Amino acid sequence: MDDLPPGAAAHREPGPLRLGRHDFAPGRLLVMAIVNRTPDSFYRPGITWDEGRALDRVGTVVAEGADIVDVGGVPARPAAEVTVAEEIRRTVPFIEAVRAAHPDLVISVDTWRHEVARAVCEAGADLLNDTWSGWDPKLADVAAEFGTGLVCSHAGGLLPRTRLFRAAYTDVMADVLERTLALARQAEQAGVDRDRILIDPAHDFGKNAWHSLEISRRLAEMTATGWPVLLAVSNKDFVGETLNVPLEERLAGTLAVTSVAAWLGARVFRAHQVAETRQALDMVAAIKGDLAPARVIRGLT
Amino acid sequence: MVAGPGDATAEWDPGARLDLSAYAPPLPSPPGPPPARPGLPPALGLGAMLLDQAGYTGRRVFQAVDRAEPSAACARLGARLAAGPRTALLAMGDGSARRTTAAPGYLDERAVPFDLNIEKAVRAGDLTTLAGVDPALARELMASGRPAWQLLAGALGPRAATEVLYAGAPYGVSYLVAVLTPAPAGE
Repeated sequence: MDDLPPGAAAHREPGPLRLGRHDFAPGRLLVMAIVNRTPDSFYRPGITWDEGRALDRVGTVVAEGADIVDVGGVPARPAAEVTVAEEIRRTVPFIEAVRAAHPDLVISVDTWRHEVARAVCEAGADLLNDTWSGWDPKLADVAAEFGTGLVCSHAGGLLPRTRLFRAAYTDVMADVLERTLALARQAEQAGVDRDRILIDPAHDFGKNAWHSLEISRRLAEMTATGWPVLLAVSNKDFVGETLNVPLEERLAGTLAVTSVAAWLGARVFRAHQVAETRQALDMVAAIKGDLAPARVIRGLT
Repeated sequence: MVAGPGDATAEWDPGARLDLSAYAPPLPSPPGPPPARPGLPPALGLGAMLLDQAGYTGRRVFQAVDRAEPSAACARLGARLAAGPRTALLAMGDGSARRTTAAPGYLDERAVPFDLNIEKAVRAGDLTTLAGVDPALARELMASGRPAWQLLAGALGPRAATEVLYAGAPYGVSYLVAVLTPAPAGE
């Protein structure tokens, strides 16, 4: 390691985000559609457990405006163990099928294990979405070797698939910045293309609802670093607790956080409800002046 | 005295109060001067809040006990307390946080029997069971109150008259509320 203090060289000029064959300019707001290859994820469990249905889902989300699909073989929440072999079995054949059907689609894989990462990269994955904050340091080496992207997240020191119990922060955003920027710098040093690195504050991971609201409120501090920010808030508990609504009633809250984050400069949005997220983001992009309205008739004709 | 788990075994400023700023970033501040920092660890802070709510204005001692403090050291702290002037002790400590799949620590099959064993012992006035709780097991089951229970057992000795006011596990975390009174000499 060099002798720079953590985070010292962490800021960068905003630039294109390169994923797969694509270069996405800083003003582009990207939807990352969630396609879980699990029987037991928290939102609509098992909906894409069947591979045929999962492939159909990919076609649907692409038509709805997804730029990226995020394939996960292990639920984040604590539950039955999923071995490396099983995670590979759930994800690799599916990724090969998605790649064959959608040659240009950006394929992200939600994993924290380098053995799985290697297998999915060989199968055509473009991005490794490491929700568990560099728990396996070899993950960055795999991203470097295959030229794929990497998400550097903050999990508040949690082990994979555990939940927080009274996590405490003197300054939650400072902690998020320190961790994610250190990981980004390590990834760059490991040889990952800096234009393929994202940072993610990881709402609800090692954070209570107050913490998740605070990182939402202060997201500009993350986007100011110049690193592309991934926002993963879809239907999460902090939305449910804030509004006191069950899982199936969190879309409005999710879109509110999405819109605020887009306004504050986040660039990639992980979502269950793709069409609604696409619309919310297009609206924000139009307000910002980054996207022209689809048509302007009112008062002009 | 209020005793409960903390980062280190230490006494806190008797004027200190609960500080939740690390858990709940402040929204609008309540009227009055801002609380002194650093505030008490949550276990002691909640004890302070209970004293305030009860209208207690007497002398306070806040004793944090290191989460990893060995059982014997906890008992010694309690015994030293008991040897001093007459004192009321608020021993603040949770049971297991691994009671259900929705619990903070997910389900550990050992958690419910562990908590029930504690509850049964407290109901029976048997404090040797509290004194004998295995710190390693308590840590695995996320029963963070273990040091406070063992300080309590050290203060009261093997037997006490007990009254359990509450025993439950909302959100998969076990809580037991009880009043313990020293056993009369010779009993």
